Amino acid sequence: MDFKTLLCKEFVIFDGGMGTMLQERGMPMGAVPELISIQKPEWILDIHRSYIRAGADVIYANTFGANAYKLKNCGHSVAEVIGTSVKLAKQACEGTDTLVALDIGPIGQLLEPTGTLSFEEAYEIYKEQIMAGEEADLIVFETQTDLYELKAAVLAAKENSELPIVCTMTFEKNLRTFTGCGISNMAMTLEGLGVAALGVNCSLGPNELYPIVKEIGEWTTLPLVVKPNAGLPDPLTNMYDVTAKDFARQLQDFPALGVKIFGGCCGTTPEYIAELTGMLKDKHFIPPAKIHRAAVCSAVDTVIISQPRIIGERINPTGKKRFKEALLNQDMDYILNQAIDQVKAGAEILDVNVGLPDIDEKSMMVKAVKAIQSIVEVPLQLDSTIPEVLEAGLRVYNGKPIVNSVNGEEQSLASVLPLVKKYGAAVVGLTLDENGIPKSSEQRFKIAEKILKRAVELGIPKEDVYIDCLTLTASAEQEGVAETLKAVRRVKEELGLKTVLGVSNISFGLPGRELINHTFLTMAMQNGLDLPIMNPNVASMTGSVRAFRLLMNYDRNSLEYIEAYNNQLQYMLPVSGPKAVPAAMEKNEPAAGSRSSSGIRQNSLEYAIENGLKNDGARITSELLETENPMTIINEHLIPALDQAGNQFETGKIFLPQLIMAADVAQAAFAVIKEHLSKHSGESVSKGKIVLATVKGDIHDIGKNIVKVLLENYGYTVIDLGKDVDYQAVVDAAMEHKVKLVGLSALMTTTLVSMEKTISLLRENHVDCKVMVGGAVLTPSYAEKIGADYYARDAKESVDIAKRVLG
Amino acid sequence: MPLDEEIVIKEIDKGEAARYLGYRDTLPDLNMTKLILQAEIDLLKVIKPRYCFKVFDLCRENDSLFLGGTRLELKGDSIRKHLSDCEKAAALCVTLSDGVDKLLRQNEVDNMVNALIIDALANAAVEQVCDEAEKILFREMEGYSHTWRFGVGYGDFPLSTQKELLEIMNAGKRIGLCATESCILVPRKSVTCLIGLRQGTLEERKKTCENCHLLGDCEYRRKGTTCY
Repeated sequence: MDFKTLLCKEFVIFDGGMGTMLQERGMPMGAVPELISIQKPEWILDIHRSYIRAGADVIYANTFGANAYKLKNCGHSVAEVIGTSVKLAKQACEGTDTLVALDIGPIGQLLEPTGTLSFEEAYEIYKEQIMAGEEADLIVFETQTDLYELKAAVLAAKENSELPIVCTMTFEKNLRTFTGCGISNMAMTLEGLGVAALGVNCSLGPNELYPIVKEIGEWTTLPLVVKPNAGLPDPLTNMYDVTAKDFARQLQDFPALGVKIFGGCCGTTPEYIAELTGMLKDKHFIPPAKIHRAAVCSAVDTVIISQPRIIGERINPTGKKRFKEALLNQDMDYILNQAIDQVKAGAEILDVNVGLPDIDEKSMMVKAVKAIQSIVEVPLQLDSTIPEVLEAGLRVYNGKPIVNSVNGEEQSLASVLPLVKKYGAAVVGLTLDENGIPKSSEQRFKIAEKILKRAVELGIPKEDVYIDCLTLTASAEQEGVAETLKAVRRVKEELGLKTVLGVSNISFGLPGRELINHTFLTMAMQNGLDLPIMNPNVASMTGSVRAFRLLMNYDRNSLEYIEAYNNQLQYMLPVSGPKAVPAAMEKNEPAAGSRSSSGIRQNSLEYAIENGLKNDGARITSELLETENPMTIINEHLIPALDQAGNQFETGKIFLPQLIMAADVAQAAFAVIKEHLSKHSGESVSKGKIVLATVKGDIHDIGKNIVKVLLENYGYTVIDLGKDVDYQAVVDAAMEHKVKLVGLSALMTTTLVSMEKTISLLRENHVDCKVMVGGAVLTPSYAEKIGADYYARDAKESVDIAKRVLG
Repeated sequence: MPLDEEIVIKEIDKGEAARYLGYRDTLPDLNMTKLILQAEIDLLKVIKPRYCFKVFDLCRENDSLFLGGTRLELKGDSIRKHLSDCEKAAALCVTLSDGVDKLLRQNEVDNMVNALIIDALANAAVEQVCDEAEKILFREMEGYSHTWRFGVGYGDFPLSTQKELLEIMNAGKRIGLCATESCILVPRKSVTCLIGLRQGTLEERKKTCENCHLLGDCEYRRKGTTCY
């Protein structure tokens, strides 16, 4: 018997709780349950056998938490504990058809970005468990709440084992997991990754799980699994409130939802499984009623492509000097700001292209995908011409992304489509091949057909293939515009596929580009364009999409449209200059002509900084640049104004948020100066480089980030290594950039030791730099003890130190 | 008996948040007040309070103090003194959940001022959730007096207790709360603490600074106040 054969049965019965049974036998709280397999094997055998007698077709080996993290310091290896547990389960099954599942729960540590465990580390932890449990008949990942962690687990299983994979996640009543993962997100991502069955376990009783399971069935064709708790626990006694009989009764409507696999979780015992088995005897399995639809997702957001959806094009260095610079300097904040701006402007999916000849595109793609997903929730479109880069991005992406792109060339089809299949993505197919872009719509349609055929042959669902019929430049190939539109219409109507177009190219070389762009966009949508790749920051472009959705009755009752434009007419005006500031900041201006308390003239950079007027700060700086040179602006306006704010902070006249607000204005001013310099010369305005890091083990980032904002606005270039930074990474960065000053931050007593180790490693490597340290738990004497050169009590002092060291 | 009473925070103690931001004798100006109000709206959208508690008998063996039914020893003079008159202790775990972490990450990239304000508001909010969870606990423990909440890692109560306490509470599974290798709670805006319980009355002990490791260099004390 194997799992596939087992699935041919009307219903499959999984077992019930293990922890419950162990606690009944006297296992103390907080003990490692998996060690009982070694200490009291007879208990485990007995529990397994009682579940088999109760009707279980599959029993879970006692391996739930047997991972490297939880078993650390217990005196037994993962291989030993899992090996023993699986053997016991196998022994219990002797003489029966019952199968053994290698049961794997969450690691017990949160993954990045909220926690410190990396995706790659999680993969290794799971890999070790999977290798140790190779004698099992299937692998079950259960009680998972983080889709990202579960993806690492599934990849580890797929790449290190042939066994079928079953995944169950734990949802709350709001149809989301603790980490916010939704049902569609789970179903699409896991089905794409090729698991054998999926569903829910734990957290709630059968009644509460009903709406959750119902919704899962609408998003997958895979067999559904349900393993509820015996109701809800009493907060004080932890006892569950649903009896075995009621448990079975509450589950009797689940076969109609497409549930194939039933079992129990916390609080359930063999009695529950026996009742369940009895109840299912006269029921019939009904396959889930999946609705086929084109959709992509992150772990939290799902975008159903049932109407035109905006793909933001701005994360792409092509033709953008400032973006290229950011990539070369690994300036992630610049890229993240591009992401946030586009989402705020209305982008529903973001294209991510970080290709530049001089950088390691593969590692940059990984870094960018992780960083962008840590701050925005929209799905991403991974954009590269190099399959290895696409694969690296696909691995670490959380959810179901779009791959941009494959084309009709044999080499492209052969290298890109298998990746799309393996990682369960959607894909953009470009209608070009070895002979270039065909002129006629007929030829492009043929290539679209070919791409679709090849995708379907590999098992990629038809709804996951989106076709790009390619926009040509109207100024060069005017007659081609109609061909593109014709091809879009045919692909949409005859092949039934979703369509993509990069819109902005159409107007290249013409004046008044925006007019051409949004007219073309509207024409394309009318011809069936689903996914315009465009600049969402241009109000008329996003506006066209919103208006189209309203006029075509997608935007029911105009809700979305009204929300976007009611009281916000500024969004209809062309966006220029720095991004908008919350209205509250800008409305604080006193009557015209007045002077501030410190006697500064209004409409000056000094005034803007003192009053936190970000837009004014940027505008005044651009005006000043017409008459003054950048260094003069920095030295004679920006820095004195910041000093003034710093003094007021020190004397308690203003508080930290106001100091940072002043720094924000300076940052906006600096951005204008940098932009100006990058256009007019390669000249740098940096006063020197400083490496900043929150030390290994510590994830309190905010203090370091405050210091960073201030330092940058005094003109220092900050190389921000982030949080939880390895000792060696600090040394490497300090040497590579030849910095004279390193700033280290730690906020916990437990991580001060990392600070000390980082400093001693810097000294051992004879790095010629000063070290300043700061953080809540530090004291000047402790700073001296661990060998720091300076102790910075607050962000303002770090600037004083930088001035002393770097000038 | 309510089995899973939800805690909902409708308003955050903005006065407390302002104090965290450094405002003690002064009130935030109009501009800052507006920012705080807007940040409160943003934060309330993502807060998802979760909590769990469990009451243990306290077991004293020789000179050591244990949570009954577990192998968790409560080390350190300060926690032992704190619980010295109690026969039971409740462990309470509380988190605002990881939506707050995400909101902070986002604002740290594009609006540091907001990040700072949200951080302060979240610190105030997590204390409010603790207050609410305590109310539920005390209702269940009618007839008992209680001490104030003693945080894991406070005084000389080792932070390394974190991992084992979370394990005993099954906090990862119940409320999605974990600790990193350095015993930092994640999601970040979370609290784990012990509350002493005694049937009948309990002599009230005021919070003091005596056990605090920041005693020598405390930002609050420098300005003549305390953090509690």
